[in-house]
Amino acid sequence: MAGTAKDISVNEIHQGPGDLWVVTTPPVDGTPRLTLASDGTPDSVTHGACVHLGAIQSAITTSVKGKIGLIELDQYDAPFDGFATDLEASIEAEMAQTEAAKLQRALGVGTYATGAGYKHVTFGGTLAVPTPCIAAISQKRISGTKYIVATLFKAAAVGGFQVIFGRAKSSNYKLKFQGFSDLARTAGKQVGIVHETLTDAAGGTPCAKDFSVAEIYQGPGDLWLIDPAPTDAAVRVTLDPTTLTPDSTAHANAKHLGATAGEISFTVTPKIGFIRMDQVDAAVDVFVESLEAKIEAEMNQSEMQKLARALGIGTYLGDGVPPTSWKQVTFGGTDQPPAICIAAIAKKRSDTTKAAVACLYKVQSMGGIDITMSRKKASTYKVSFSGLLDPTRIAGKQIGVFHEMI
Amino acid sequence: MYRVVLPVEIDGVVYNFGQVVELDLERAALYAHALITVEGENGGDSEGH
Repeated sequence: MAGTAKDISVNEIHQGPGDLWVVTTPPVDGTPRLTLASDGTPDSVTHGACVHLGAIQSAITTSVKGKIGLIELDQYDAPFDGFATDLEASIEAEMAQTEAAKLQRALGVGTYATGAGYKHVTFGGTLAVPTPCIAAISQKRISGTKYIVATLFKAAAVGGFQVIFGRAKSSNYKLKFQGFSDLARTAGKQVGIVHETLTDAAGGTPCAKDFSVAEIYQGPGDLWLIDPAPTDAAVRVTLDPTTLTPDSTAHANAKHLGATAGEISFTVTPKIGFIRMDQVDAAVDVFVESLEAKIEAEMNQSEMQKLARALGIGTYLGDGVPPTSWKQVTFGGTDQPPAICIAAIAKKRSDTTKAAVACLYKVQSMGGIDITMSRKKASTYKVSFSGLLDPTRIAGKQIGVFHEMI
Repeated sequence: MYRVVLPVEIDGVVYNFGQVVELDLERAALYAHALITVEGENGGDSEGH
């Protein structure tokens, strides 16, 4: 008798970073593998000018999970077979470059615009979900010219984005694309493909990568009440170009909300619904179920008007304007919280003469207030401004905007 | 002619995913990440910008 050889190969252990691409012209059904140029980027002749999604903060993870339903019989103590009930495939990564077009890509249902001195992405009220082809490409550990490639033929951005204005760490956001079935393709290869190249990549026409460390954001910001709010015609917060604070003409009643104890977080998260049919294991299309936008921070200054604003359902009163003897916030019995416009404004790390702004046109304060009386620590309270949709605005820009000076 | 693959706002008009928009080359370059060219009237896609 002879034994059977084990299949142990250290070379098959993959390790190494990758890049994410939006593939303009997806691989066709007959040749589902992405064609690579000699440098491991998509071949632009075959796949068009693919869009590189920028620097990665941490790993890219491609996950493909089949759900198998087990078929059981009462007479037996174990299932006798299984059947595919569901298939989920996704590519996700933590992204490093905070830039309007990339944030739009992460959100999917954001609307991008640019012009003299600005770029912005607005959101709120968009119905159609973009469904690009997404690919992750990683060089093999054992060879600089061979690659592992994961491709989702049709995918929707489901992770949204986050922008952090803070001193302690750079801003990054989790990008996630969820794949679904392309019924125009052959069964067995309708959602995606993972493949490795065994010969050296050669020829082809490379696509350009989009690395820009200037787009990596870090640094503190400020919270502002913006009044009047930006309009449909002027969607951005108008800034004074010298101080990078709200322009006192355009936003005559703007108020600074005081010192922040830590970072300001701005998140825009879509909930994408998936349409399924019983004939197919994976979803077949997508739709926007809801969109959640928030600005959150921890505040330092426990002044009564600021507390009233943070509480939302608090009522501020002073003994005069300005108050001289006392000021107060009362609470209890207020049913309708006011809606205000809030913006976080921060100087860009790479060019402090320019600012980035996250603005929600209509928010209500959800965080409540805390007043801590302690020898050990200063009193702070967390504010959470939750974006409301304003149906009187134009679809595509009914909740808010992220804009940056360029 | 360009097909919108990510929503864009151009001159105050919002164009959504799937719509076709006519732009000059210079303007289209500003929105390169969000548009792909549409060849002729048959609507066949060619490489993007």
